[in-house]
Amino acid sequence: MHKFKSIDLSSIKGNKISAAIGLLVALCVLVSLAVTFLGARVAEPIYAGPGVTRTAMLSDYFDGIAGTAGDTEIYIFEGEKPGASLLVLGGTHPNEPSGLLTAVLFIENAVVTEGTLYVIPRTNSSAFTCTDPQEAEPMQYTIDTPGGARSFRFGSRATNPVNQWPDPDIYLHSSSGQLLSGSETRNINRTYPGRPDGSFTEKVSYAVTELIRQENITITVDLHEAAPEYPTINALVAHERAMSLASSAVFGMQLQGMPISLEPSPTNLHGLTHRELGDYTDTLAVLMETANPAQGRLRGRTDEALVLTGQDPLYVKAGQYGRLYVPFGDSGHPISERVARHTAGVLELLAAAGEAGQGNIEVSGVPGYAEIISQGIGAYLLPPE
Amino acid sequence: MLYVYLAIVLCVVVFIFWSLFTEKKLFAQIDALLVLIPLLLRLLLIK
Ligand SMILES: [Zn+2]
Repeated sequence: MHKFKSIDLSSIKGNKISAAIGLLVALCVLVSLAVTFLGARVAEPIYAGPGVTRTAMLSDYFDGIAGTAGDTEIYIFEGEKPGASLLVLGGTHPNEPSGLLTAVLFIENAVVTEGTLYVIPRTNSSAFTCTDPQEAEPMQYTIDTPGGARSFRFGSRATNPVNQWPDPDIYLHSSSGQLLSGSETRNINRTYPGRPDGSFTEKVSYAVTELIRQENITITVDLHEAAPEYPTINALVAHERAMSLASSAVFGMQLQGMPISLEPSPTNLHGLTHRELGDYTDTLAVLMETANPAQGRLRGRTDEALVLTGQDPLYVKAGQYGRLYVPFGDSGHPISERVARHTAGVLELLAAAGEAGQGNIEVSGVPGYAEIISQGIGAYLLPPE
Repeated sequence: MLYVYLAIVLCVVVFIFWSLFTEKKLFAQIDALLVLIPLLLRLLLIK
């Protein structure tokens, strides 16, 4: 028999010298963490492609966000021939990478000859500067392009608490009186139409609403990803005034072999783009969802590979049990497929834009669904400078 | 409201510093340092 002598760790003595040494170590840890966290505030470059005629800032439409982390770039493509206009909102939720990447794909490739295209790649730019607590998500992911690898920030669903803190216990949506859990106060897709004198996030959503009003934007499309077990998925959600336009787009996507459904925007769910932008502006508001297992509760290890490949054996199993709202095989739902779906959806909306009666939008240079899937998204991104 | 919360954080940070330098047990000092890091990151509005 061995006899262990137990050591009572709590009895080890400390003094002012050990406190000072410990403090020095803690400060070193603090500095290294600060470098990482502050580094996350530097946005990766997006390169304006041949079709970008000018860029603007969101604060040009509401100066209440000028100089804050909520201000963000707008890339504008003006055709020589006047026509309708379409606004792409990428990065509403920066933990849903295909929204940002689809916006980047348009910025770096699209050429507009008729009408106007507006693209905001980072709608909630503050939310790109942090990740969600307790989700163990990667801080960035890398896409290989022919000219070298490019990294992009994987962000949070909500505004960085550094920019808006504390959260209330209950979030009261100002224009409807709807009550939601407190953390939704930082979710920009719950704060539309926004308020000029509201919270940080409400001001950013107000700026987007003002952009749509001042530029009289015909169509607005908001790009998202959702968990495979979430019912609203592989879907185009449309405001009632946008139903006819959206059904044309859905039909076009189905003809290309994409499973996608058309869903009406619920009238009692407030703060979302497809509800409030449709109610408070003249735009035809739609939102697109594609499936990403990295969003889901059933996922395994959450790393860069999961974000990019969209493959997860636990989701394959869940699919076999019939618990998912999308087909889920071993090949998963890779980022190129998710971007291809969003790109195809935006292209279908652009093609159907004439239905709104404000003229057409003619866009070229953007790869289609089959091209993006076969070549991969990286093939269509500009090389890093 | 932000400044009220920052004032609360500052208050807690001051108490932790006081406890760190008066504490006689090493492990209690380490506990204090572990708590200090996230509080300072928020106080400085870094994280
Ligand atoms: Zn989303």
